[in-house]
Amino acid sequence: MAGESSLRKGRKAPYALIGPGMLWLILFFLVPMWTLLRIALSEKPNAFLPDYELTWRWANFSDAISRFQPELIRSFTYAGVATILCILIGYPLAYFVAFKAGRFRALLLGLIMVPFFTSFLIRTIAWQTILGQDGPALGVLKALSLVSVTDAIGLTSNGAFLNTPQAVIGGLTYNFVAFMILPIYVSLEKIDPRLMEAARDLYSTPAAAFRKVVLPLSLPGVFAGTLLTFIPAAGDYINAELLGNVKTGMIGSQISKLFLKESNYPEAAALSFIFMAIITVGVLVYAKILGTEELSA
Amino acid sequence: MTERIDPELAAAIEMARRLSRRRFLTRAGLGAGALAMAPGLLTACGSDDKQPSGSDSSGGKGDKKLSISNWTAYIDQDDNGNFNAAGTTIADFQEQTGIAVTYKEDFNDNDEYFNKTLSPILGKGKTLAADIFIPTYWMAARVVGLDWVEELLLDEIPNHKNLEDNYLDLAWNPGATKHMPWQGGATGIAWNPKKTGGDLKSINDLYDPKYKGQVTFLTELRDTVGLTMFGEGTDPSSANLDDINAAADKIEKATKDGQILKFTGNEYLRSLENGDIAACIAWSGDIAQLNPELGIKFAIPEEGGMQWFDTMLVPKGAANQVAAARWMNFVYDPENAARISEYVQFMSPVKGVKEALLAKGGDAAALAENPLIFPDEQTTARLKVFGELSQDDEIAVQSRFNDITG
Amino acid sequence: MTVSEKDNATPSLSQRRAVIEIDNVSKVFGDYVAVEHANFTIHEGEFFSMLGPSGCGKTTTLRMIAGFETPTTGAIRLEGSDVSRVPPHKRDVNTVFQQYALFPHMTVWDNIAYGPRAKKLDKAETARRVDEMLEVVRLGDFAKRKPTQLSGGQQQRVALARALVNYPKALLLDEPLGALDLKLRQGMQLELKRIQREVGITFIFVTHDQEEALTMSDRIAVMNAGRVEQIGTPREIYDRPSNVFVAGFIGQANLWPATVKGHKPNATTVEVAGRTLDVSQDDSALGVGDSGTFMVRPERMYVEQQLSDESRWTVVGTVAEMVFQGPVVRYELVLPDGAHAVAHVPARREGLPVPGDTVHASWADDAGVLLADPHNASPATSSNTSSNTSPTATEPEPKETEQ
Repeated sequence: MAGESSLRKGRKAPYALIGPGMLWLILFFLVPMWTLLRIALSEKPNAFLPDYELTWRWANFSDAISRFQPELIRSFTYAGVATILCILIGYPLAYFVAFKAGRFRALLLGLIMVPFFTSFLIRTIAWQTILGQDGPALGVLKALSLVSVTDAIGLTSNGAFLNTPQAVIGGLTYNFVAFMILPIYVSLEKIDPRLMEAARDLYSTPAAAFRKVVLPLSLPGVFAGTLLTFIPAAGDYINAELLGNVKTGMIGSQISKLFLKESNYPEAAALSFIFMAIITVGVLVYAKILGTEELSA
Repeated sequence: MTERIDPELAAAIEMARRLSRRRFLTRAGLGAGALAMAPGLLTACGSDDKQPSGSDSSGGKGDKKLSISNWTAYIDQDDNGNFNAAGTTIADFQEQTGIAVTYKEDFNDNDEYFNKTLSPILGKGKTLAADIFIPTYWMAARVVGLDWVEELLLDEIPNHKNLEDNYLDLAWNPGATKHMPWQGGATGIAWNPKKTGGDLKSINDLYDPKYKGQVTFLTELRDTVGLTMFGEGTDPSSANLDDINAAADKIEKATKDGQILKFTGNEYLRSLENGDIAACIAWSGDIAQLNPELGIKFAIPEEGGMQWFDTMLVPKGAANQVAAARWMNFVYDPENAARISEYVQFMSPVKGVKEALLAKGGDAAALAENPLIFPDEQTTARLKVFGELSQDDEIAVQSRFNDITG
Repeated sequence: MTVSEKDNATPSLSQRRAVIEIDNVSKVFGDYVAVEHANFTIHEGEFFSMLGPSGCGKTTTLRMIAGFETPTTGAIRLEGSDVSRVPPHKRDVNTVFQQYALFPHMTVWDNIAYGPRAKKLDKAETARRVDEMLEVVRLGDFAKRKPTQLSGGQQQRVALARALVNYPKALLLDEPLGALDLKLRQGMQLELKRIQREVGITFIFVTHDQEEALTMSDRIAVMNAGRVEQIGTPREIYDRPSNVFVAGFIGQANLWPATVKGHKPNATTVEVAGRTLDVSQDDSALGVGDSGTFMVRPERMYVEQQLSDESRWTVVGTVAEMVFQGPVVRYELVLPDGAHAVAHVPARREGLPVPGDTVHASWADDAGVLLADPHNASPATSSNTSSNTSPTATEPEPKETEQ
């Protein structure tokens, strides 16, 4: 009997161990998601009162899509461009810190992190001053008479940095680049430098060694960095509000306005759901393409 | 009071707006991050607001304690941000009445407060922790219309007589028996003469194509639509839906044409300071606080300007209604009101404040001469409050406006 | 291959074609001299080891041959052409790295195919070579595995195959067996020799394990503190070490201070442990009155109560300790001048002296070697005990008693 009961205990132990995690997921993920879905399928008889009725109103979804299609497309476009820029900026930086910085590695990592001890908001507001009409960035361009050039290559619009889509994408890139650098750095830092020597030894040029060995081994970091950058960037609207113009609004502010200004909880919930669904599908496709074992296995 | 795009922005921007630059920088330096984020987070988590006020809520006539929810930096305090410091309004009130005041700067945004606090609590028939909260007039009208407030105990408020007359005939509460205004202001136009090359007079100057892409409007529906209605020759106080829609059409077209760069909350101030825009719709109190060296000018358009005010309400079932009444009476004393005005520099709804300031002399007297705080009678005559909208109209108009502002 | 074959091969080595020439190469990192004036030639088909304690410069020399480091001065020639400044990917040598450095994201097959693909060999040739190499290292069934799914020994063989598949002019092995346990290491030593015989490629092998070097090498370069101390066949290095460091690093040795008393034709008269001996070695490096070191390997010593062969050189001492070690008995003797001697004698059943006995310790006259440097000249002799992880650790100072 004793043996049997201890055996049973042994079988239950794993469930006991995942218990807290499951509870956490149920309480803080499943329940909110279920609530959100219910609201998304509900109607609010009176906008000003908190009550809503579950009427399975799927039209909330189609209404949200047709009304906010431009903002949805814009959010994913801006976030996508910003994420690519984050990779282009973050990868070389992470590579340098991981392999070339030597004893300055900790210092450089610290410097990358330092701006992020300041509030997101204040950093973004600072960019308004930097990019403004009378700010230093445009000042340099004007002094060098380069404004027409930057206009031509699309860096500025009508001689302005601020309040342009470029500024919004730039702000997103700036605000999220650290979330790209750190995971890439971690994945690069784990690569045994001898693997690069081995590739060089096996007749690869430095560029080929990077392409065939370092890059594939750092892809998990790029993947993680992309998620950490793209998802919050797509949902962000501070940058769009502060650095953009009336034509650069992103989905986050629309959800916020639906909820707060129009008290339209069902449509806000439906729009949130659509947004999450697109991101989830996108992440799965991306994981498939990148072949990240941890996610696809 | 102002509308803002989101609660996170609220705290930082409100701070910038309400405090003078010097004080803002000092306080921001102490911990800008925490300062900027904390109030937003608190309300986002719903903290104390949602808890019923406790045992003594039965009668609602409590006179020992008082809880106030107000906007940031909207009352006098010492340089460390302490509301209870000796010589402040709150300290004096506590001393004179023996009422213990809990004063919170947790009112960040009308819509946010309504959707996160008022609607889920008062809408469910529960009681708010605060005995006084201070929304903007149109939100106050909505809450009064929903019957979520108590009648004021006017017997305890002899100073009610000091309320400026123009607040007494508002359609949603004639005689001001359910609210008492806290501070007010005007919405007009501001411009940077270095960019415009001259002075603006009319709201329609903002639609002048020579300022294309250099103009910002406010995300606050009533200010932006109201001023545009003045420009169209219609009356914003009438709240005529056709007139409102005509104005919205005009705004929508200007937006599509690229005339209007963006719709903002208080961020327009930075755009003005940085020279990013030539002109905008602006709040009087903000311009009063700008550095005069920038040369930014403000005017109530010749067609007319919007008037707004934030007003004190006592929520349904509030525990300490007597204490709330005594507080209102206290701050409607011209001397006490003058002290608040001196600090916040908005338009006071209390009669006799100008005289009280003049009597004080010095900086206070200079304030009394400031036309943005004490506008002359001609200007006052041109100010109108946006008319009250029915619930359905309000939602329809707001929804349309949201689509326009992007 | 038998021992005699190997011995026969040795003299012909010098006539073989030179594959790698290390011509007066030095390497300096900042103010640290890693390699100082190294000079040697490695021949075609040779199994050449660089042996020494850590920090001796052997790995730096290997990395210079591979192209990962550039010599500060001097030249490295590969089949006659100077490659000192040729990048690694343009050198026809391949390396087996210490921890194998297998590409974790590729299968065994892809790992091995890496070099041929980088060299743009056509697909059929690549496949033919990879499959051939998988057979050579006996990993045919593991082609589709990832390196992490293999044992240490299997990974080792993949690393070998990945390098050999390119048919390099020389294969460089950087302590390739260091990560394996003893049993596996001994197996791999034989395996490496077998593979080398099969492919006939020059192997340059870096190790700090003297036993490994002795077992596998055709020739060994013993290095210490950046200098090449001696180059020779295992036999030469063991029997005729050129200095105290080499004597102490390879195997065990009795090292006694010696003073030169005079020279004879084909012999040098020295005073060792209070006795005067003629060493059948005409070492002109030492003049009369100079101090040198006299070395006798413990296993070359006889320990007897009755001297059985008067022709041997002998000293008289007292048995301080006797330790049975299986095939041999290890004796520790105290000589009259207080010096110690260690002797390994076959573990006969009877007639062995016991502690306290007075004995004759003797050796054949060709067993004694006179080294030119004083016996305490090389500080490395005492440190190499700790750096040498071989099971038959060297014992440079006979004075040091064992527990």
